[in-house]
Amino acid sequence: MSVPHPGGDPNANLYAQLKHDVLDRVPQITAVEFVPDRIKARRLRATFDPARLDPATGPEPPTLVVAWYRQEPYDWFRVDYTDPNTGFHAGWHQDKDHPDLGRTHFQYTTDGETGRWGIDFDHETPSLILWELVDSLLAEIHPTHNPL
Amino acid sequence: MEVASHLPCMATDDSQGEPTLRDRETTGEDRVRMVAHQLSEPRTANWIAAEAEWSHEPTTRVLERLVDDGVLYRDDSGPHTTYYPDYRRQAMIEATRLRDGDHTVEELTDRLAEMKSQISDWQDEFGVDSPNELRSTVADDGVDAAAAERRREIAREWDRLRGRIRIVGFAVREWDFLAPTTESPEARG
Repeated sequence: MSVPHPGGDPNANLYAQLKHDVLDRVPQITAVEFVPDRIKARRLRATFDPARLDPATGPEPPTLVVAWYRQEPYDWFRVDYTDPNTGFHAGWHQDKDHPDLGRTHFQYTTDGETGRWGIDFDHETPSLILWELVDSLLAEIHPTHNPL
Repeated sequence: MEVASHLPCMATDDSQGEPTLRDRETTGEDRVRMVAHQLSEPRTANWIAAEAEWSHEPTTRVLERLVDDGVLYRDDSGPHTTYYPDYRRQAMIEATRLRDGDHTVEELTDRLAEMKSQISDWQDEFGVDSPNELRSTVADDGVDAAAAERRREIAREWDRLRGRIRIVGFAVREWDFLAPTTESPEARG
């Protein structure tokens, strides 16, 4: 017989962890806020410095909005990046909206063009999944859709 | 069945060994702590080391420290030692942060009332008392696909709101107990 689990709600401190573990450490992000406020904490919104992105965008700051709910058997999440300067949008969703694409899908919209496909992550820890997609956004997705 | 894509969606490029931003901005210990705080089931040190992409020995040292600090529970009763976080402690930390934040107890009380009122609106709209009851209505006659999806979304938000109400309610009830110390012990005499 194993020791009983101490229990508790895995969502209690999750947004503070995602902020501390990931978003606060990204040099291109200048602010991270709880939406609508710290008390209700429905989502996190990170604001990028458009000049620090490579290639640079602007003048408006792009944002990354994180909505995450820990549940069994799989977490529900939607992470959405929007660049208001170009209208580019990218989303990583684990929300059962497209079951034909598997558990998780990536989608983007730019200049009237939309792409959507299933994805896998290497990790199952929320903070490390968020790192995977932030790395992907900055190293591949943003440069691909903002050619010099 | 999942469909894996190799189009640009994942950045970790192990084949080229180039450090990602994550590799530059986190240490192995940081990542072990992240994993340890967010485990969804008891896991061995080996599993946690692999997830954190760090070596076994330092991972175990960090895990043992987290056990000593009350962050993790260790279970030695099975064939392998496993670790699991104490999520109650995380709820306490969250309540303490709300107490230490910029909001007044009146603001917390107002938000609490708004969250409760939202739940009560859903109870009235759907004639149910709980998120699971609402989920059980998605197959009812007259509920089309869009309405079913809306009900599922509301049920999840309802679950989330109930958790939030417990934490904010705790912070309000224990407002004085959770008050930060602003004077030195000598000054309080």
